[in-house]
Amino acid sequence: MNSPPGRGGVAGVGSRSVQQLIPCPDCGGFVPSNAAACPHCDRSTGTPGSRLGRAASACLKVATGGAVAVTLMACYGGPPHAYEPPPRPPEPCSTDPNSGQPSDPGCAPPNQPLQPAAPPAAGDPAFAQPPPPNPPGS
Amino acid sequence: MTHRRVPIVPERWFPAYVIWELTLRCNHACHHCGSRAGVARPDELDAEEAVRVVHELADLGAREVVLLGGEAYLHPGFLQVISALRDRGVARQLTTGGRDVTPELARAMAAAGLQSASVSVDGLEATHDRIRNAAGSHRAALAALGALSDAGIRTGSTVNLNRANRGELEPLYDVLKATGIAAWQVQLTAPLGRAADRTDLVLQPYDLLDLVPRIAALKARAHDDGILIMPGNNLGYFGPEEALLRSYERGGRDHFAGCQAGRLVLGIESQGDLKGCLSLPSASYVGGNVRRRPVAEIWRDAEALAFTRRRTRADLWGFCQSCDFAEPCLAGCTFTAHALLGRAGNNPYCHYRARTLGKRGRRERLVPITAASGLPFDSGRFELIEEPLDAPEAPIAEADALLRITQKPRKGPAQVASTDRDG
Repeated sequence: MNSPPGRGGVAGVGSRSVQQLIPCPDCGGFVPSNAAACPHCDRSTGTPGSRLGRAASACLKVATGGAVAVTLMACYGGPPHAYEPPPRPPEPCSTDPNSGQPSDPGCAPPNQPLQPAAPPAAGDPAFAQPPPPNPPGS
Repeated sequence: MTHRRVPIVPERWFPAYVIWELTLRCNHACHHCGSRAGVARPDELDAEEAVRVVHELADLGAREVVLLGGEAYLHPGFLQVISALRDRGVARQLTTGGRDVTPELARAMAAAGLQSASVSVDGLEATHDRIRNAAGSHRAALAALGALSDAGIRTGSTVNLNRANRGELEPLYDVLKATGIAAWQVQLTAPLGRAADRTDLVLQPYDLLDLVPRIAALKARAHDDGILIMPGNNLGYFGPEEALLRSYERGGRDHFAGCQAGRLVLGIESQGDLKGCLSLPSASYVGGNVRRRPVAEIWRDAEALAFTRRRTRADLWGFCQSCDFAEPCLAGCTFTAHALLGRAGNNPYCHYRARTLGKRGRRERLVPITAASGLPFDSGRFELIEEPLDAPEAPIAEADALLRITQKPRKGPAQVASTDRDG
C-alpha cells in the first residue's frame, strides 16, 4: 500500500494546490519539485520547474493514477496493524456421492439458506474504494 | 493486507479512524496525562448510549476505533462496545496503561473481539514509574503485554517522549522487543493537561535535532527485528528521515500529509462530546454532543470539526507559513501547535524547522507564559524565543525535578460536564 520507492505521495488535497515532492538522490529526503536545491543536503536539482521536477510529477501521476492516501495515526492511537479479513459465509455443501452426507462438516446444508455476509471489515477490498460521500453541505 | 491507510478523496471526509475516551476513570494518575484522568466524568455515556454511538460510527463508514480512557476497561460497557464494533465490522483496538490487565480480563477482551492493544510504556522501570506516578506500573505494563499476547491479542506499545525519558529510547526498545511487540508508536509529550503544569518536562524544539535521527536509526533496526516503529502525528516533520519514519515498509516513500482531525479522524470524549481529534483542547474544538445531535450531523455541520478541511498555506503563520514543506505539512499536528502557542498554524516541534534554524546557528526555545486551566485537555501558553544554537543549557535534571509542577493550573482538578456547544 505504500507509494513506490523513489516517489513521494502527494499531500495536497481539496482546494489546495498540489505540491509534488521528489526524492533527493543523495540524502533521500523529500525535495519540493520547484526547489533549486535539496533543502536537506543542498544538492542542486537545477532551476525551479526543472526537468527533474517535471519528470517526477509525470512518474507520480503514472504510478498513482492520481490516488492519494494517508496513514492515520493519532497520539492516543496504537500502532497500525493489519485489519482482519471480513468473515466469509460458509460455502454451500457438496454431497458425498457414497454416503449422501455433506463432504465438509463446516459447510451450509443444502436446505439451510446461507447466512448473509457480514458487513465488510476494514481491510476488505471494499475499503480500497473511495469512502462514502458525506451528506451535502459537508 | 491493509494497514491503517485511507485514500484521500477531496471533499469526501468521513470518520475512518475514531479515538474514543470511553471513561475518564483511571487507575493511574500520570504526571503527563493530557486528559488529567483519574475520576470518571459525572455524565459519561452508559453502555447503551455507547453502543448506539457504535452503530452511528459504523453507518458513517468508520474503519477502526481505538478505545482508551482513563482506562477504557473500567467502563461498565467496555466489552459490550467491543462486541458491537466486531458485529459491525469495525476494527477495534485498546490503548492502555496495562495496570490490572489480568489474564482473565485479557481473555475476556479477546472473546469480545478485541484485535490489538497498545500498552503505554514511558521509559525504563524507574523513569516510567515516576512519570506514571505509580510504583509497580512498569512491571504491570509488561505483564499486561504478556497477558494480552497470551490471549491472542496483537500487542504493541506507545511511548510519550519527553525530557525525563529521552535518554532511554534505545534501551526501552530492547525491553519492548523482548516482550514480542509487533509495533511501537513513538510520540511527543505535548503540554496538555497535567503536562501543561510541568513545563520542564516537555521537550524543547531543538531536542528534535538529537531525537529524530535516533528514532529513525531505531526504526531501521526494528525493520530487521520485524517490529514496526511509527511516529505519532506530533512527531515530525520532513527532515531527511521523513520517508523512513512515515512508511510501513523499508524503502517506502510515505510522508506526513497534514492534520487529519475532522477529515478522517474523530475524537469522542466520555460524556459524548465530539472533536476532530481527542487530543485537541476541548475549550476550542468541541463540535457537539452525541446525546443532543446525531454523530453524522455534528460531523457534517460543526465548524469546530471542519477546520482542517479548508486549511491552506494562508492559514499558517510564523516559520510554518514560509516553510518549503508548508503545503503538504500544513503546520503538523494541530493540538500540539495549539497547546504550545495558543492557536494552530505554527508548530515549533518540527525537525526540519530545527535543522533549518540550526544551519543559521539559531534555535528556538519555548518559555511558559500562561498556566493551563486545570481541566481535561486544557493547555497553557508558551512564548517562542530564538537564541544562538549554542546558548547555555541548564544541566539535565533528574526525572523527579522535571516532573515538578512549574505552572500551577488556574483551577483545581475538576469534573467537566458535557459542553453546551452543539456545533
